[in-house]
Amino acid sequence: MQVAYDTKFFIQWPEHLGGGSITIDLEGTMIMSPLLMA
Amino acid sequence: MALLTQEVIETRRRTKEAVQRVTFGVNALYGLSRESVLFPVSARESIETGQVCVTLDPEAEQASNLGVIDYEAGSISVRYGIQAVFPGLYNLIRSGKHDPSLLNPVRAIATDKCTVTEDLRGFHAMGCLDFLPGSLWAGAEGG
Repeated sequence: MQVAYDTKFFIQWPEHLGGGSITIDLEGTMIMSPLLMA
Repeated sequence: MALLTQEVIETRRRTKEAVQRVTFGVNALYGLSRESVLFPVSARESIETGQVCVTLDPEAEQASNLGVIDYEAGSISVRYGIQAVFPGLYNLIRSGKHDPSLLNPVRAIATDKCTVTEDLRGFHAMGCLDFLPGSLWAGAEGG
């Protein structure tokens, strides 16, 4: 099953990289296969 | 307790229970950012990443790329390993001030909490990225 992938990631930087945080938006495709249904 | 009769069995066979939850494996992924992002390379210096590209991490355990779709709630929870490419690192390496190993693929674990789109053909996610050891951004994590 191929689905549209649209994710906003949140990242927090460690202190040695100055701290703070950013978000990054990614779009694309994810392919999944069912393993178990309930 | 009701007796198990032929009629009870026939009734069970006729009853179609809707599947509410599906556990799935993530087999492949590509994701692109529309824009460059400012990533820190030290406490005082940052770089433009260029267009970021992510794929499934071939070094991650395949069994760790898993998710659950809950159709009733219209939600997906999924966890998967990624490798990310940041073209902006190339310029950083060319400056000669940084180790070429920075160009190695950056590995991270992504955890998404998603809302399934109305047509069930995709999802919108709010995710966290936890960078694994071996990259400039090791230790950065989702909130």
